[in-house]
Amino acid sequence: MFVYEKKLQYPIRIKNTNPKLASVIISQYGGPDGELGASLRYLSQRFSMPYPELKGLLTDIGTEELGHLEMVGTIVHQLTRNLTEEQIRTAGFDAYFVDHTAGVYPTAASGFPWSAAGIGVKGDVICDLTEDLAAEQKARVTYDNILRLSDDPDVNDVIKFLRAREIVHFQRFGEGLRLAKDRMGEKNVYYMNPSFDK
Amino acid sequence: MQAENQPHACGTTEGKLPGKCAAMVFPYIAMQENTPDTYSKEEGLSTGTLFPGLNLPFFRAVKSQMNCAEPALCELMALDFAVAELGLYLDTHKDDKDAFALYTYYANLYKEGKEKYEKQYGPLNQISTARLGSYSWLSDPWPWDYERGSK
Repeated sequence: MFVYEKKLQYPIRIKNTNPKLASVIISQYGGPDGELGASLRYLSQRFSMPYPELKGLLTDIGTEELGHLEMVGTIVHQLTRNLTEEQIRTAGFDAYFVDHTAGVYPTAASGFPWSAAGIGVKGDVICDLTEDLAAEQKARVTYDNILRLSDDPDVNDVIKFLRAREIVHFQRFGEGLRLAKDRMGEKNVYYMNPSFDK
Repeated sequence: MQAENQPHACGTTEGKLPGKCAAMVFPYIAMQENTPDTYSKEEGLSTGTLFPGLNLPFFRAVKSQMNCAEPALCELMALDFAVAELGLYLDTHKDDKDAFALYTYYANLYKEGKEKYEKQYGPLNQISTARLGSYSWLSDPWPWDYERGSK
């Protein structure tokens, strides 16, 4: 189960509203490589993980990603505080505004709503962990691209933190693969699927 | 196809990794070594990792700095972050006793710090209200609020 803690993982305080930037950052809330997908991918893959290290790792990283989802939602919320009439018309935010006002909705920056099609749960330990390595890199690049698009130091500071977490998670998933291979202890790790063939 | 001039050092199903042979058709990430160097908890939080070895920043963001309006909360965040970061490390290094000692150290500080923080600023968990003596769970600010104000 999950218990809510009434604090963010990292402090966020964004002075200047910037709806256009919000309309880009929303992708890490509900886009293909965003935090919602990350969390659901790992928390769902857990169920078919055959080894305790991997059950633990996916639980703990999946839980941290829920905290990142809250952080990205907070960025979008603070960037869209007290919008002026002028800002909702001209700031490149109008397409989002017409559907969601200043609410936080899980969608990609392109307008495509969050979809499970962006994540994979294959029920095979090597396959799922290899997907997770790619997922962390995709999220890392998305944060790189946000850093290219944003000049706001209050935002960039938080994005920098989130980006650093992707690199740590990548390392841990890589280590998870190594531990899985040690556990399989066979020359041919593709001989069977330890998640399914007992 | 054996090259004439150089016998293969690794077996048929193996390839070369730096300093060793290893099975092919499998991705390899080097395991972080036991008892890795760590930053202070404050530097860890502001960097996004407790481990200098995993700090690989992007060129566009090297100058930005952590924006901490509430020192007591940031102190707690730094402790919580150290615990979470070491927790992930321990998931793949469960036999590293030094890391577990550091984990225990930060976890105890976090537990103490959290109770102190809650007494002064309000509950972090709903169930803490039972200890605090009034149902203050609903008090502003919530984590996403820009206006922080007093609770």
